[in-house]
Amino acid sequence: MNAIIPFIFPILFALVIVAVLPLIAGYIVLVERKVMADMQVRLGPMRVGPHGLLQPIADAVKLLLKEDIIPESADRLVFWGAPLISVTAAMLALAALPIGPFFQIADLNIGLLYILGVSSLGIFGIVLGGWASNSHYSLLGALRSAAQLVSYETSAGMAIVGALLLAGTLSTRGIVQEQADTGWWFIFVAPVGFFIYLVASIAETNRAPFDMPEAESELVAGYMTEYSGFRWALYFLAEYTNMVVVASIATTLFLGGWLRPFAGTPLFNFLDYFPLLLLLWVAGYCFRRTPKQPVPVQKMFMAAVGLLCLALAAVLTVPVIAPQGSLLASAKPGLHGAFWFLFKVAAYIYVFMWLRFTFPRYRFDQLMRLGWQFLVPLSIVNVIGIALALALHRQLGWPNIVCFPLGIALTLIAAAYLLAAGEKHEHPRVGEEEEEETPVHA
Amino acid sequence: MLDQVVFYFFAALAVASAILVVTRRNAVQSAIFLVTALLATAGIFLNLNAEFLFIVQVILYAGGIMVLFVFVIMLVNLDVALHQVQFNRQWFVALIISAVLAAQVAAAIAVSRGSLYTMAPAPAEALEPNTERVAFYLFHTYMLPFEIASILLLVSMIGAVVMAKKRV
Amino acid sequence: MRRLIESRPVDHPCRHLRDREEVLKIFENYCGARLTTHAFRIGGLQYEAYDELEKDVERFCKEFDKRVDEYESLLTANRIWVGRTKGIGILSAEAAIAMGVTGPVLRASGVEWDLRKAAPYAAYDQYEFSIPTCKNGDTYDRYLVRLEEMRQSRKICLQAIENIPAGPILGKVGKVLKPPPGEVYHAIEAPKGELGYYIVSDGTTQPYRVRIRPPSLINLEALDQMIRGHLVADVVAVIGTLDIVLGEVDR
Repeated sequence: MNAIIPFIFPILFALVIVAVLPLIAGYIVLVERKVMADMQVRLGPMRVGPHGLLQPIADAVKLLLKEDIIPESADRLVFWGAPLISVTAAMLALAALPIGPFFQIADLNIGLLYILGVSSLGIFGIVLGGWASNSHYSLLGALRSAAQLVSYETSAGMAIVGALLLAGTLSTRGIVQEQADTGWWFIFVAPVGFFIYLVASIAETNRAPFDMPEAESELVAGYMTEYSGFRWALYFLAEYTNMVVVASIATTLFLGGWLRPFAGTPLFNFLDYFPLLLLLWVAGYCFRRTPKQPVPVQKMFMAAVGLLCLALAAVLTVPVIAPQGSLLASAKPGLHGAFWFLFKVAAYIYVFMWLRFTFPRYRFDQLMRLGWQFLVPLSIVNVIGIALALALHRQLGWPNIVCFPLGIALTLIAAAYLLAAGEKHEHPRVGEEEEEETPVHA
Repeated sequence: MLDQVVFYFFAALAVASAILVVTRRNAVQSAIFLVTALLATAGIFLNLNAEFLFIVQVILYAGGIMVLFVFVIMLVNLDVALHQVQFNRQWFVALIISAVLAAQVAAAIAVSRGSLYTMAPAPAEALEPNTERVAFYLFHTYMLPFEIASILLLVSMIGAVVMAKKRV
Repeated sequence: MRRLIESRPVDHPCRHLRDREEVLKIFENYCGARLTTHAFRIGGLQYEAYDELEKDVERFCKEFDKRVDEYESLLTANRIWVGRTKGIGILSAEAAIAMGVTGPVLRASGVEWDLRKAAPYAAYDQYEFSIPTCKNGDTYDRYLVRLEEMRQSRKICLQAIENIPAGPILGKVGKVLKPPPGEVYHAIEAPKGELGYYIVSDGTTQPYRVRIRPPSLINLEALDQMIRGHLVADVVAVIGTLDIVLGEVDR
């Protein structure tokens, strides 16, 4: 069946991603707990497995074995389907993202629009989940969450349009190729766009400081309140997969996708040894901790992790050392591309976690005000700035070094103005007369 | 061959979802099945290599308009609707009217079968990417209608905001 | 000082718990218990100070100064923090006095009243410290007052640990106490406010009446006035700055 052959690799990649993603999401949770602990000067999960490395597996087993409680007056079909919609939408978005030059499920020529469209389908999962639970808190939390998502989707989309203008194509592979051709990652050409996307993506994934809909002290757990056991695990999986998707989009659009820093310059080829050094360091850490584990099984596990890191290091370094043109060397772009992509995604997610544990939460009305009155106008000005810079460069022939700082300056002026206007509105001078009593409203 | 399989799959999905939309008592379930029907239609568009139409259908229709529908359905009290007596007395008349309509459509198809212009879907490589073509027509040939349409949308947005604003 | 460290409004990530841990470790080294020390007895202390107590306390105080600066840099000018605390939960000075609110809440509303200065007990009249007050009485001011009180507490700690006089730790008190009949009310400036004990004795070994003035309960009464006109999300922040101990409120 000749018609099936072009589908083999995409189906294979899709299966790999769907199989591996829950494990990865579980380990991202572990990393988050460890990072949180580190920032709070404590250790984090240490008991299950050496250094807490088997914690996600324990959590998964617990969640699978938990009793499946469905509220009595809940709508069964919708209650069952809502987490599925969330997870499906999150995973579908991964189809158009290039993990390396050769690891992509589908290189759609509307790749970016596809990701945006499918991510907006995730809103259904939240809204329906909140409604199906048949409880006020869930519905309120769901509607708040959906409102927040819709608001920040606007500015995220506009930030993406900024990068789109620079790339000239909607295909995700084409965008990375354009960054390779011009030699500049788009974060350097449109830093304000990157910043807008960073803030909007934090709000899109309901992370702090925008996590009011799921804050425990506010609405219990928002739309997830009535879900227990595996259904809740699905929502959780959807949230962390969303984080990976959003980080992947940012990496592809702004951080150069699978490109090594200074990809075009042979002077910086020593950076090709960076994966080796990183993995050697991790392996060394594992081997150092091996004798300190209390139980022999944990010792073996730790040593096994160290050996795995060494194996990965070998796999990543052999193509670099192999002679040019040989079969081994031709694996280099694929493998190293995947490494750099995953490294950047990990760095972006680390920034997410860092921000989560540093800032207090925004109140919901402040959140919405930030989204509509600051980010949306700023993203519009960002698009105008980039378009202006491109027009100046292409039509008038001005050199790049003049046009783009001009566009960036325009956007920064707009940002300063918007911030100042926002401050004046939000913080009335304290010490004025107190207003008359008004009833407490939620 | 693969084309046909995909088409029949999406078509069956669309028809089944459409039937479920009108037969469910629960309004939210109807909305969900409407979303499924819209997504199935989008699938058919993609099968015909109209990828821009596919994604616009998903983003605007399923991801925008239906989200609005679902919000409204949730905020309206539905218990009343669930227990209402349904209007099923005139089912015989409805049956006759739908039979007549079906007969008309069948007759139209039978009569014009020879003159309907059908072509095989073009291979994707032969077509220019959809988005660029749509953009070309929108911003070159039909620039004025495009601008008028966007002003119309702007006016409606401002009107909605003004009407919904609280009296100061 | 440990109590002051504990009293942070809810949203702040828990970096300050590190300092609380160190204080609790000092307590643990001193008497074996972290929170329920039971170190004070009628007439003095139950346990002798351990050898490194002075060194531990001095080391902690020296690092604490930098840490308070760190917390200040994290929060005081932070847009989100200011946005959530400025103008929220305003309690005017007259209202505070009328409701009987005491402690940092009262001082943040503009009333300069601290029992350690107004009616000094223990050795407080020998130490040099100042009382932070603010003008507006909103959540942000209560945060600022507590932050400054942490610094002042540290100052007091350093002076106290340097000036411990030599001598026995427990005065000569009989095993069975038989106070003369009468009543007494004495209050101290606890971290939550004015913690007072009212005891009526009828001459026997059992007290006739004991009543504790709970600062948290009385401060909580002012919540109603403070949150009118605000959003539900602000209630959390206000309760946090009132710094109540529910065990005291809910006896």
